[in-house]
This record gives sequence, structure tokens and C-alpha cells, in this order.
Amino acid sequence: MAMDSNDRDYTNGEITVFWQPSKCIHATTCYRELIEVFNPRNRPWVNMDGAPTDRIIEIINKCPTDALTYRWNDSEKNKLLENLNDEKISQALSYEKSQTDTPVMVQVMKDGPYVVQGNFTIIGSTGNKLKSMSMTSFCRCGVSNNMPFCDGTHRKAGFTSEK
Amino acid sequence: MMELIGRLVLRVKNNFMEKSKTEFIIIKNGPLHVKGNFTLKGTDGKLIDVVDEVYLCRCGASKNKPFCDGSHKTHGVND
Repeated sequence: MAMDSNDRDYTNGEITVFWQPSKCIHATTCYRELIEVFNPRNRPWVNMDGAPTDRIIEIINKCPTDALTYRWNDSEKNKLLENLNDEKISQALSYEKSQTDTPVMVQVMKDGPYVVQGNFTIIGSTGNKLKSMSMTSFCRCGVSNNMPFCDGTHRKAGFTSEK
Repeated sequence: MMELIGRLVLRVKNNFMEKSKTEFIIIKNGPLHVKGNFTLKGTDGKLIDVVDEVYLCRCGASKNKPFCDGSHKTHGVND
């Protein structure tokens, strides 16, 4: 994977978690489901002692992008994971192909953005086509500095979606 | 006969592609206009019944989230 100076890794001796902030779309799945490990208010924001390894892996697998990934520190276990990943990738590719004709999914995240998956087009306010993509998140708190996309500012702004 | 089949196939394909098109239209200082083929899931993970287009709040101030209620006019959007 291409390394960025903002990329971080964290380990508990058993697995190493890789964090690539440039790939994060702020779907908020990680900290909503496992704040004991993924807490954006803390530094470092990942606490590998906050939960058992299998629970951490479960949440990483729910990350909609490659912002959070992991590897086993044990190289034997890692080989198994790589085989599994290859399988997952080919499955994902064939899934993606079959998805071209299924509806786009718009998920409203609690206190967070709209996470969108599928094949869709974004059109600017002047009718100009911005881009076609398959996964993104749109700001719904009104204060992102990267409009119309989410940049995570909702958390600092204290946006709550429950009225 | 062959020609006829060819035409039929092409027509079905075009209709199909038209149907699967989904657009997200950004309205400046206003909501997100979504139209086409999509499903909407609420914060509780349950599907929200919608017709083929919605206007979603983008300013954070709607009293009818996730839908727009016009609050952006007084609240504003950081566009």
C-alpha cells in the first residue's frame, strides 16, 4: 500500500492496525461501534488495549473503505489472511459488477454524514457534472470545509442529528 | 428476423440503463437533491419509504431530518 506521512499503525502484539486518513470517508462506523478502541478525541486515537483482537478485526472489516486495515504479526496467520483477502477482493469485484443494476444505497449516519454506495453521478449547483463514483459521504451538518463532501468537521461542531 | 431481435435487445438495454441512473444534485446553499434508483436507510438502519426523488438536509438545521424543511434559508450552508 502507498504510504502517506499521515498514515499510522498500531499494534497489540497480535495484529497491527493500519490507519490511512486520506481514505477515510467519515462513515463513523468504527467509533460508533467500538469507542473503547477507536476514539477520535484521544491521542493516539486507536487504543489497541480497548478490546480483544477478534472484536477489533470485526470492526475493521466493517470499515467501508481501506482507511482501516490490519495484518497479523504472526507471518503464518498472515498468509491465511492474504488468501482470505484475495478471495474477498475477487468476491467484491464480482459483487461490484452485479451491483451496477441494483439501487444506490444512501445511509443516514447518526450525528454524521450521508454515506452513499453504488454507481451514481454528482451534479453541481450549476448543472455541471462533477463526477461519477461508487462510494462517498456527503456533509449533512452544514459546516464541512470540503463541500459537498464530509470532512469529519461534524464531530468538532457537535452536530447532533436527533433534533 | 435477425434484425428485429437485435432492435428489441437494444431497446431493453437502453430502458434498463435509464432506470439505473442515480443522480446527486448539489443545490448551492440548499439541500441535496437525490433522484433515480436508490434506497434510503435511516440512522436506525431501517429503510425509509421514499418515492424516486428526495431533498435531503445539507445545512444541519432541518426539524424534519434527514429531509429538507427550508431551514437553510436562515441557517446557511458552508458552500
